[in-house]
Amino acid sequence: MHPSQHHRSPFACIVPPDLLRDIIRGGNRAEREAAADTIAIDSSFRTLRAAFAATVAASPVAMRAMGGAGGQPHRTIYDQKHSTAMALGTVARNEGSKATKDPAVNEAYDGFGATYKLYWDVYGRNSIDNAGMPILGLVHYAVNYANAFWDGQGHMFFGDGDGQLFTRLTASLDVIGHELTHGVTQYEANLVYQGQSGALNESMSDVFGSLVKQYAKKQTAATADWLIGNDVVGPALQPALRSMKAPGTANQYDKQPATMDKYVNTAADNGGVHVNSGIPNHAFYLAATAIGGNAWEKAGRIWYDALRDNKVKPTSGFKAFGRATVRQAQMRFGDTSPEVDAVRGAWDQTKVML
Amino acid sequence: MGTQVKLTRSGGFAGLSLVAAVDLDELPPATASAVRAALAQVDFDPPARRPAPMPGAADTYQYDLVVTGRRLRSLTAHEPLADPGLRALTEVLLPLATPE
Ligand SMILES: [Zn+2]
Repeated sequence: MHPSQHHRSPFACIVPPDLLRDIIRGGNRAEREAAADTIAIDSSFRTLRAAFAATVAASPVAMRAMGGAGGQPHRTIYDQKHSTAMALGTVARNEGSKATKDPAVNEAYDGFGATYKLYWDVYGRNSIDNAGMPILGLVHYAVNYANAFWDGQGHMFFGDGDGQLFTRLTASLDVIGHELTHGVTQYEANLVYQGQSGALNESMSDVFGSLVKQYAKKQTAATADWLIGNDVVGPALQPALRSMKAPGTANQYDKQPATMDKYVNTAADNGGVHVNSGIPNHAFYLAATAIGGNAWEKAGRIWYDALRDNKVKPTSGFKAFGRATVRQAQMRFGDTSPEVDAVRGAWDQTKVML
Repeated sequence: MGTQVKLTRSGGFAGLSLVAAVDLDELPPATASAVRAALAQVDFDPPARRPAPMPGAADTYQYDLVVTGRRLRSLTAHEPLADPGLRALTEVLLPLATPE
């Protein structure tokens, strides 16, 4: 289901207030806002009606709030057999089944597992929609396809690479974490994929893609390479696709800016979403290294909370998001904490004036 | 004056732009006629193309086509390409494209 389909009160008037409060705490952005609207417009007995049972059956979030299990991904990997058709191919592996002989299938399965694990272990998030949504990967998409993408409908497509730009895309944990995070973003701030909000959307995917890799490898902010795609770049893009530590230096074509004064205005790539993501990427790197330790613990938590901050809207840019990171750092660590100083300093160094 | 065709594929996970800029008079005849045949099929009117990505989608490719000659025609489209003419054109021109 597309998130926009349940932006307005899926729980209208038939869910008990306590359950709505659980949803506000545990649900995704659209569900939290819908539940908050419902509480605001209806605090009467109508919420206790018998239709409650039917709603629970229809809402995975409600089931989870009622005690349904989290902590377990529901993965299915499909073999597209080099077709460009977007319909689901043949099931190659599903949850709990054994490894296959196909490395792309196993890499997608394991990479989704590692991504689910970061979100669940560290942020308490249950899958893409925070309601246990199935994680669906489609591998061997098209012929020599040097790309991976999220289709906006719950599917992640992976090509086998062309051998020049990329090798098999599933071989990279940060690529898999990047694609799944596009789903998370869609269910939270739902950042419009154009211009500055699009670059922010891209940066979320690089940030959490990198954190999936760091968490799996137990690397600290100081020991991580902060590179994206270095496991899957071909000869043309060596040694990496992007660098969060030093945007613009990852390969011979890398034009990413690190600071706002170098923001690239272009019509290509939806307004340069993969170029200007260098600025918020670098802000995250600076905040994480200033705070020190494991980047997923504090900097990652602040960024995750900011992505769920109600003041971050689909059209928000770097400034609105930067302010949300400061606000979330203040709420979690205190107004005068070193974490707040690190976050402010990071945006300051990237010349994003908050 | 001859016809110039510039096809740019941008975006994708890499965000790398590949550009093919050709003058039909300077292409090998077989390639030039393949480009002409594809171009004749391309619908430059907005409803036939996809000016924005699929809702919520990310890392799909964007295609920008500019044709100059007796008149200027241009379009922007996103994956998946609905227009068979545009698909045919990408098959002929992308192998000639270089990273920008
Ligand atoms: Zn992306």
